[in-house]
Amino acid sequence: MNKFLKITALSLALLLASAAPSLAESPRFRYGLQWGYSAKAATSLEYTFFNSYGTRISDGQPLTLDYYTNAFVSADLGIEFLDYLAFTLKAGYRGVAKDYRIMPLELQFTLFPMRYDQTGIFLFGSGGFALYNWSMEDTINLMSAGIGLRRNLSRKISLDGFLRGNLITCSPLPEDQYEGTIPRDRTVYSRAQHISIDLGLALYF
Amino acid sequence: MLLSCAEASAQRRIERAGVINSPKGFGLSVGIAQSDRRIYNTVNLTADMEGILDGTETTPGIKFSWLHENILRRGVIRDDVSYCFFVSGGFTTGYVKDHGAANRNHGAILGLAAGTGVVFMFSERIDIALGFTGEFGMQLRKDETFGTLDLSWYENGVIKAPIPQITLYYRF
Repeated sequence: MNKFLKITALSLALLLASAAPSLAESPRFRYGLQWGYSAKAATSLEYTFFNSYGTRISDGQPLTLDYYTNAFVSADLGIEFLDYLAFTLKAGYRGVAKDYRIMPLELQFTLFPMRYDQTGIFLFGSGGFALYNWSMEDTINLMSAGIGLRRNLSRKISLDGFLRGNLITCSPLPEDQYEGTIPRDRTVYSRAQHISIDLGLALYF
Repeated sequence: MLLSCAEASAQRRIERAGVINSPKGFGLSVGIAQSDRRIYNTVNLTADMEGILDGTETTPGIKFSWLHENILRRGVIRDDVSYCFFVSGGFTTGYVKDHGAANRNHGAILGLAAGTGVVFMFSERIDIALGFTGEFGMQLRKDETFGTLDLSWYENGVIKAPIPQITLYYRF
């Protein structure tokens, strides 16, 4: 019985070992650049502050269609593994709203249903935070999801085109029509949400 | 290895069309192969981004340029990817905003253009060009304060020359 078990175990191990190379090639590191057009589609905001006379002012607007044109660029470093998956770290620069440009740092998870070394579609989602004016005071968070098309130009170079939706939440300094930008120490609460749609290209090496 | 540099196309024809991507501007580019394989012509139509990316301007300018490229060197790198180094000269015209005060008007430009770059050709009918283009010309615009016509050097053509552009082409 023992001998039988040993033979079975050995056969199974051999089977798995022979199957393994076709199931999972060794992971490969990729680096690249991503850029594109970003259209802010909707915004909601809510804020409360004390003006210079000590009066408490509250205002806001619910989620409203509000178009503004923007762009984005990022440098990416990623790892593709198990033939179908990838993790990418992205550091970039993007516009969010009028006069509001941020430096996001995001982690993206990508699924390539047709393998990342074949031409085909891919799905991705990402999340992260961002700096505004080199500071984290605005507590900016980003979440996005999208779909793309990968075209492998050679064994090492890929060209991706993608469409992505973003939700960006931040705590910007409120703007008052009489006093201009309210400083942080007089701001009680400020929260803005922006929904934008990106159309972009990426080159990975 | 049938890539465009190696193919012997004996007449002038539109060989590729693509999209220009640059902080300077975005636009369309068409490449016209010549009977002499050492020469190539490129025609670009771009939306000039002066002031757009930093939010001081909402209207892009428009720029048209024609560049006559001399191919200095061709080569092949791994994975059936070939490349060409080129230098180019030509002219540029358009209606754009120049570097200067934020309330400056757009104006008409005319000038000489010069550039250099490298084009990578892939077997998937995709060409990727990385290049730099400088422009040396004049701008005629209406003064924003006095309403007079001003003629000045087109400063952006020289200031923005070191800004690269990546053009993604589809080869026919």
